[in-house]
Formats: sequence, C-alpha cells, structure tokens
Amino acid sequence: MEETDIALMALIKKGDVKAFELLLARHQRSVYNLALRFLGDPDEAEDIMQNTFIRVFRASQTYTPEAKFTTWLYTIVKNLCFNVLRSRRSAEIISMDSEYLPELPAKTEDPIERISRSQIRETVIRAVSSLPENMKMAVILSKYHGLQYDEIAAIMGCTVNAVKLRVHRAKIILAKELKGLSRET
Amino acid sequence: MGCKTIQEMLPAYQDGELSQSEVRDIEEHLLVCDACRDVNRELKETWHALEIWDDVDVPERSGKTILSRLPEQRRMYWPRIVLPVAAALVIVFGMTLKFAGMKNEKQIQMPIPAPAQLSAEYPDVDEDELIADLPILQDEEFYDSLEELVEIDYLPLVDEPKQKETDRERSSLDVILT
Repeated sequence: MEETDIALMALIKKGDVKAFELLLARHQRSVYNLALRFLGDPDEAEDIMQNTFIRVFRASQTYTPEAKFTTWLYTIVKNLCFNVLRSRRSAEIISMDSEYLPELPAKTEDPIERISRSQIRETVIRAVSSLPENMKMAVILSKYHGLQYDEIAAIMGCTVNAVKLRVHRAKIILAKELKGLSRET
Repeated sequence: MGCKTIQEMLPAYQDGELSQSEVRDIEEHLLVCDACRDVNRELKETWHALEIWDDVDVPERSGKTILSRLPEQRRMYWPRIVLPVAAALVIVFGMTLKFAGMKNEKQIQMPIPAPAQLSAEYPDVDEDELIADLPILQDEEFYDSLEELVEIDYLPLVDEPKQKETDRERSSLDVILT
C-alpha cells in the first residue's frame, strides 16, 4: 500500500532518507512547475524546488499535519516565489525572461493565422505571466494544480471569496487577451 | 441586467456559484444576446486553452543535488543545538581558568616575606615592643562579654547546683556498682 504524504513525513522525522526520496519523487514535478509558471525562470524555479524540499526535510522534526500536506508544501513554494519577486523588485528586474517568454503577436494580427502550436503556447504563457501576481498564483494553483478555492485561500492566506474574485477576473482578462486563440488549441 | 454586468458574472455562472434567480436571468439574457453568448464561449474556451501550457520535466540534477545536501542538513540539525551550548561552556571554562590564573599570579607576585627579610626591611622596629603594645584582653572584660552573651541567649545557662547534684548521684552509683 502506498504511504500517505503525512506517513512519509513521520518516517522522515525518524531519519528515513528513502521516505524523503519517495516524497521528493512524488512532488518535485509539481513544485518545479508551480515555481516555473509563476516566475518564468527555469534556474530560479530549480532553486526554489531545492530550497522547498530542504525546508521540508528540516521541518520534518517539528511538522504537525494540520492541513493537507500539499497545502503546506505549496505554501512554502508560494512564499519562496514571492521572496524572489521581492528581491527582483529591489534589483529593479521586473520584466520576465525574454528568451522564455517571446513577444506576443501584434493584436491587430489575426492570431489564428500562421501561428503554430508552439506559438499559441508562448502566447498563453505570456498572457498568464502578465497577470497581477496574486491573480497569477491563484490561476496557476487552480488551473494547473487542480486545487479547490478553499485550498488556494489557505495557501495564499486570504479568503475564499478573494480567490474566487481573482480567478474570475483573471478569466475575463485572459479571454480578452487570447480572443480567437482558443479555437486553435 | 446589462451586458457588462452579465459578462462580469459569467465566470461565477460557469463555476456554478450563482443563485437560482441569477442563473435564470443570465440564461434568459444569453438566449437573446449574441455578444454575451460569444463572451461566455470565449471564457470557457480560453480556460480550456490554458492547458496548452503543459508541465515540463524537472532537471535531472535537481533531485540528486537535494539528496546530496541532506546529510549536510542532518549533520547540521544537532550541531545547531549542541555547538552554541558547547561554545558557551568553553567560554565559561576558559574565563574560570583565566581568573584562577590571575589569582595565582597575584599570589606568586606577592610572596610572604621571611622574618629575616622583614627585620632587614624594618630595622628600627623591636619585636618585643610590638608584642607589648598589642591590646591584651583583661579577665574582667572577658567575663562581662560572657554575661552579655548569656543575656542575649547565645550561651545556655547551666544550673550549677543541679549539675553538682547530678555529679553526686553519678558518683554514688559508681560506688554501688563497684
């Protein structure tokens, strides 16, 4: 039978490295992709993934399962991501990595014409990445991690209504940004 | 409700979070408004279109890097507690040694002078004179002090006659025994 995340944490507390490896294998992909989608930088996403799991290992000594393990895990990731944004702001680097996020096609251009799947992907990335930070985090957690609004609220430290409002507004913004593009996918 | 309000409510409508009356209003509006119907469709399709941004693989080295940092972390767990305590103990021990050393040094620096040395240093002082000048406790003063002590209960009072009686009894008993 597969051990639950909380059971694995109890084993890690006793120094079971195999349990940690299992937990890492189970969640590293989602942690990495959450950080990558939010920050848009593969190197920073990798750093965040490493730091997240080191924190998980350290915290195993004092960890008490008060909520779902993933809620706790994603809260660590979210905090680390926002720390990166803060340090970026202090370094006055606000724009996203230009190599990772290519320029949007001009809005006057019909997006359905002449664009390949990879270009549609890049356009979607650009549109999601340009959302305000809290809205973007809510969209990523909802759309790509399949979390419920109450879980997202717990991770983001806000009310469920605030999460709903962010996701709903994001949907309207994205629908305007990606108008006509969705039929191509 | 106007188109703007309807369009703002569409995401909540799609999430199934509206009241029955609101749902009825929106559905009635969508039947007659092409623009809002288009927005409703766009919202659904856009949300679906986001799936094109699929997951990417984690760099292979990452997992190994994390695992290689673990023993370091584990080693660091106890030292984080033990090291400061050990450091504090070393400091306290070191300071104790230092102060003890300083005391010894002072003692070494100030040796007790030998009598011959003293007489050499103070040739004009006569020892007999010094002794004669020392205050001698007079017998009367001694007994006065004793009485004072008895008054303030420092010394127990001994009932002399009783003591004598007890001594007498003991001596008579000794005679009988012998």
